[in-house]
Amino acid sequence: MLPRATTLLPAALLLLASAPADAQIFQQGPVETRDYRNPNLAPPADAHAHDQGIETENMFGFTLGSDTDEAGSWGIASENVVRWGRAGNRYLAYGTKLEVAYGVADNFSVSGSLLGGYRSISVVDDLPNTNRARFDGIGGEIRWRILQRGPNPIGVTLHLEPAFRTADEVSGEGGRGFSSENKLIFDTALVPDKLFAAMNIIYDVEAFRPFGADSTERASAFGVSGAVSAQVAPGLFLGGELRYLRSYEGLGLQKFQGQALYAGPNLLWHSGGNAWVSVGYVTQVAGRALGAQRGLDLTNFDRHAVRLKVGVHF
Amino acid sequence: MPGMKISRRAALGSAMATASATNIPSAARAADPIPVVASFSILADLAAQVGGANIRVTSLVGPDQDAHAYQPRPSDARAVAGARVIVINGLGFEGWAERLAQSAGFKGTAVVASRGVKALRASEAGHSDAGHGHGASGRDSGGHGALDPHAWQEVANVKLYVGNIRDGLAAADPANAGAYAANANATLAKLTALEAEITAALAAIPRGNRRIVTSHDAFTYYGDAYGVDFAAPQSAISANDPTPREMAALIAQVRKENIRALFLENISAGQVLAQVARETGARIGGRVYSDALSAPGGPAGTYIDMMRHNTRMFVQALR
Repeated sequence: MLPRATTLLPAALLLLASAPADAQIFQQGPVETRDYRNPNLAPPADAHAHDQGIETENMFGFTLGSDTDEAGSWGIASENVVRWGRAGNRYLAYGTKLEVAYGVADNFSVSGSLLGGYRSISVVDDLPNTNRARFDGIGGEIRWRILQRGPNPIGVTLHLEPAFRTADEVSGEGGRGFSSENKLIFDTALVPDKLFAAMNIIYDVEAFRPFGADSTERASAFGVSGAVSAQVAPGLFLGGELRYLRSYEGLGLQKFQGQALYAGPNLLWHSGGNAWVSVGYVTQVAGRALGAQRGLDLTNFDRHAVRLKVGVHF
Repeated sequence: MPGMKISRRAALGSAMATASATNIPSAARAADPIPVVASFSILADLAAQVGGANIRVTSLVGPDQDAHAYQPRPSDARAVAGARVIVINGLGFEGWAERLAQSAGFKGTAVVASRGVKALRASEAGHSDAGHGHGASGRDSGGHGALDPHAWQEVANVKLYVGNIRDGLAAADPANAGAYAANANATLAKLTALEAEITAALAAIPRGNRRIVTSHDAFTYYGDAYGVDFAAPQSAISANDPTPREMAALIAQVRKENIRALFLENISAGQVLAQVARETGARIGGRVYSDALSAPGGPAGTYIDMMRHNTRMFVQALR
């Protein structure tokens, strides 16, 4: 029995639809464009204005972008950093931060956070052996956007991240201390909506006195990082970063201790809703501790680090 | 639904239908109307105005239907295959049209209604049409990027549409060319009156107050022609449950940009919008029509009624 025409038609249509088109049936002809009479409707001449809807703060892994939370908005985020590989037998440190952020004004946001950590250390230079998790203290962030990307070619933000610590971040020893990770952040959209770049100038300070110690240890670090990230699919950004850090004794960069250069990829996924996930990995590709002959500084810096941050905006 | 047909009686404006009947030669009136397919309801109405009783119009995307979500179906292919004339908007609005016509083996007269329109450039990110994924490339006209295809929102452009439809119908049905020309002239006269009507209605609103935030992205031609500033929400807004962050951003935008009215029909949380209105003084507008007519008998059953209705909604909200 022959198949009915009505059953053949959809199949035939599909077959034909996949065939290359012949000569155009619809001839639009050359299209002339005109200028907008209403300048308020014209597409922005400055392409940088296009990317306003994309948030860059957590786009670049360890390197930060300049965006701040919008006025009146809330956010919750969990940041988890795993670092491993130091000179010695075994070094693994996991730090976690649970953060609540609030946009005080469009260009000014603050956050408060609880800090926790776990270290597994065995026979590492200058560090006591340990294998325990503990509460590390409380912290926060203050972000002041000095220049907004979009209306301007670059965004500039001052980022301060103070913390009152009950455990040393590297060794996990109990004690009392204060630290602040400070960054001057620059970023820009190299290609609107598609390709972004950021640079951080880094100045970290830390003062910590372990329980039972006679004196307070003071250290600082100075560095610069650069990163790029491209939107490879809607809401999905992939890129890479370079970080160069110098370690010092003293809060004011008094005595040089070592340096390290890190490189690695980063990823940001932003859901269609309010959730996002940021991942960055860096590995030390060059470095030198003070007085050392080896090509990496595994005394003052870690060999590898991964940062995973997930968050939700309200 | 796709493939829904507009009955001739419903699609014709009553005044136009009278004009058509009086202009149809008796020999032609006796002949069967020629089958015409239009890609969506606005073009179907324009074709019906020009074709009068000499044509039978099928709209692939019917009234109240979303042309952006349209997927050709076998019944549409049959309608296209049997059509003597197909009318599309062009400017990239119907990305599916060429393939559908090819697949159906269409051999009639193809009319690109926007032919000759001086198009507006659309930004790549959300000004006019980024959310829909259509819009023609301006590569052939100087490399200015995507074009905004919603040219029918400016009445002056629709006058060109009417001329193109008239020429297409006359080419397909030369015997009734005189009737098509007469109907087109009558339609053009109505469009001229419509332009004056819209301009006069908006003139009552101070220019600085004509600022609207809308989730519709099809009113750029309207705003450009008649001096109304349409802006999209700067931040995405969840349709069913806007977050405080989203609402705060919207309130900030309304205040900062002196927005007088909100037409955000995609936001179903009416209480939240009412709160925005209370806090900013902006008014919440009623339903407006951008890419499709209303069902026959509704507030926007014809193109002219649609433009009148939308203008009335804008003016009421801005006043």
